Amino acid sequence: MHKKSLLALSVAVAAAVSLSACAGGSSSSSGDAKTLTLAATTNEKPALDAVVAKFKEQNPGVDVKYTTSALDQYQTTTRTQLSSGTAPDVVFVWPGEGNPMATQVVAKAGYLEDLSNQSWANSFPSGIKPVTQYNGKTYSAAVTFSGIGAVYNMTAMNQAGLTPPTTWSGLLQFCSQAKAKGKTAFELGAQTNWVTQLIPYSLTPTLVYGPNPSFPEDMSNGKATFANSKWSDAMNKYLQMQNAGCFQANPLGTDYNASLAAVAKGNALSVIQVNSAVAAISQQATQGTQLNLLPVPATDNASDTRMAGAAGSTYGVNAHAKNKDLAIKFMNFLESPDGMNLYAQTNKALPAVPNDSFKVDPALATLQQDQKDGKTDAFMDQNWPNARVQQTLFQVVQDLLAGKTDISSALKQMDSAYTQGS
Amino acid sequence: MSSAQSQSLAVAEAAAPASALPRRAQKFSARRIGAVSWWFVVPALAFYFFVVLWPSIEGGAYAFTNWDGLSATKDFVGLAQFQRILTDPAGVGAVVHTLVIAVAITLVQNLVGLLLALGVHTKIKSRNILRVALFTPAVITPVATGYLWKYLMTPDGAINQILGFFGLTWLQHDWLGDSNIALWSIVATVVWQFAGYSMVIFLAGLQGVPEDVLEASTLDGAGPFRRFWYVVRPELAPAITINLMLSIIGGLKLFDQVWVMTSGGPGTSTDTMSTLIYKNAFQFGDFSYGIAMALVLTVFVAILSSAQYKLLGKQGGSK
Repeated sequence: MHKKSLLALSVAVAAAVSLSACAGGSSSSSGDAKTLTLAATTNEKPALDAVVAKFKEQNPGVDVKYTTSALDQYQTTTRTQLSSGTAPDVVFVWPGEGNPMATQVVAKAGYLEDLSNQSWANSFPSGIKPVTQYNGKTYSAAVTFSGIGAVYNMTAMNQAGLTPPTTWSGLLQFCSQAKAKGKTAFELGAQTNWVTQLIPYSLTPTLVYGPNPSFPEDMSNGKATFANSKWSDAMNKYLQMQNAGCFQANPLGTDYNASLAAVAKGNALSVIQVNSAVAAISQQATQGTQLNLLPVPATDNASDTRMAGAAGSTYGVNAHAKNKDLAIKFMNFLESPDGMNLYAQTNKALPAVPNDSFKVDPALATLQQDQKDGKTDAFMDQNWPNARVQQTLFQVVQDLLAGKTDISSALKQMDSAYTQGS
Repeated sequence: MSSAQSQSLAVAEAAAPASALPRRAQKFSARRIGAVSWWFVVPALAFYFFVVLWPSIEGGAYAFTNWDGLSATKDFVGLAQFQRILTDPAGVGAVVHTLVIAVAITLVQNLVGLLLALGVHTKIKSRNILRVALFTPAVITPVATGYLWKYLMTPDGAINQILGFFGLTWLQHDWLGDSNIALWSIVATVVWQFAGYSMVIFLAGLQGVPEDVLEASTLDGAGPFRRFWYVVRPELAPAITINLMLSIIGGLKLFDQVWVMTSGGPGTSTDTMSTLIYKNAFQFGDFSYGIAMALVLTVFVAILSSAQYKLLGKQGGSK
């Protein structure tokens, strides 16, 4: 072969070989026995900082490398990493099924390690155990118990001379009283799509899942639908709240962060949120601001009121983990009372397995009591058969608030999404 | 022969006019140069093949399967995913929004870019500073621009505050929360960012317009508009073609700003084909359907941009 051609060919082959290496990704990252890798969503960072420090203290020489990212980004990245064999040893997963990174979705695909043999696997309360399992085996470990309710800025409430409502009529009255005082009763950050679901999630335990605990099974068996259930009452009450001026002027132009900031400043008296908002608002509010997470009433009988409460922060071990033993050791630490309580304490949540050594944050006392009294129902999406249902809920609520659809069409869209991935 | 002598001979041979060489030698030389040139292209082609073509082909194949983006198993389903697109109501809305965005951005961005280019193609003293200032938004990442404008467009944000300051309260809006105007707010953001980019391309075209022709037309009594239309515009034809092509492709593929500013909402009022592809592939766990939509978008972009290129080419746009 001509000398020049040979040279050019060598360059081409070298380029091709180096590019092939690039295309293969950096999957050859080392996995020494003393280094654990972990990934979770940004919300989990404060708790992870605390438990990782404690784990390292108890295991000298062990290093834990963890990354956190926003929810959307986390789901996308971690799914890609799992399917390409580059995922970290321990991954944050959602309980149940209705989410692209939910326990049952990832376990079904074969990417989660079976943890059924671990001592804690059978210790979860009955409301949590099923959402950590797939085909009767335990694939994830719930660390916290979370709830959805109205987070009241009690300091601002006291200044306005108002008290949290305990009935539906009282709630509508509370909205007009707050308005008269120049305050927003419930700040709503509906521009952030996942926030849109929280009001139905806080109303349906009282309206749907409490009166009929077998509603998820009825839906799964085709005996019930969203459109022909009390979900329509919940959506109707959502719109009633909007019409009664319970929200600020532009909920669709307000995002999650802005909604929390309004409550922290006292411009709004409360926000319907997950318990993790208590920590986020505390960080922004002036020192000494009192917060309280309470159930949202949906009927005029206060004793009917229930809360959405379910497994919160949950982790699984990558079935192809480079350091499986260390990953399981970390999971055992998370599931120990020390690890679980530290995690829950830092993230302003409750431990997934109630225990006497946990000192509850006063803001979460009602959630803890409802958990003990069995007055909580799992987050609805945990029992939905695919991620499309929840995403459809986000979309139809925004359409409802914008007046672009009606309740019947909205719920029919959710029914359609439910049947698509069943 | 010394090496210096042989070098100077080679240079002389290369510099000699082609006509001075016999016909056979000319053909051989051209073929040889052509063959050598191809070898120079090989590294770039290899790079393009392994980084762009091969992953695209491999990824595109998933559109003919039912892979969910995670499972180890997948089945061949033929054209089933493409058939779903035809019956998906969300898909129709997204196609409409994509077309509206692409047309609006193409028209407004190029009009603004052209006006800016004409404005800074003058002898005003600050023209260089203006050129840099107007081009600067184009070098910011679209995600950063999206966050910036999302912040400015909040109900209590700077835009409404400025409008209020000037007593224009009737113009205050929930720019991203009102489903009737959210799409246009995104268009405005993209135009703000890339009008300077179009301006630079127009400016390059304007600098090629011969001064003597302009002077002659002025002496012949042509006013500014006639001068632009009959002298400047034909010279700008290649710049117009490239600008229209880039902006229509950019508009059809738009994702970053939409995702950051509205995520396709409120409801589905700003969903584009790109956001729908992302949602299906990564949020709904319907990866192969997302890929099928991406392939349709690719074909869509290719057809529209080549039709536009041919149309403008016929009008002398691809000089």
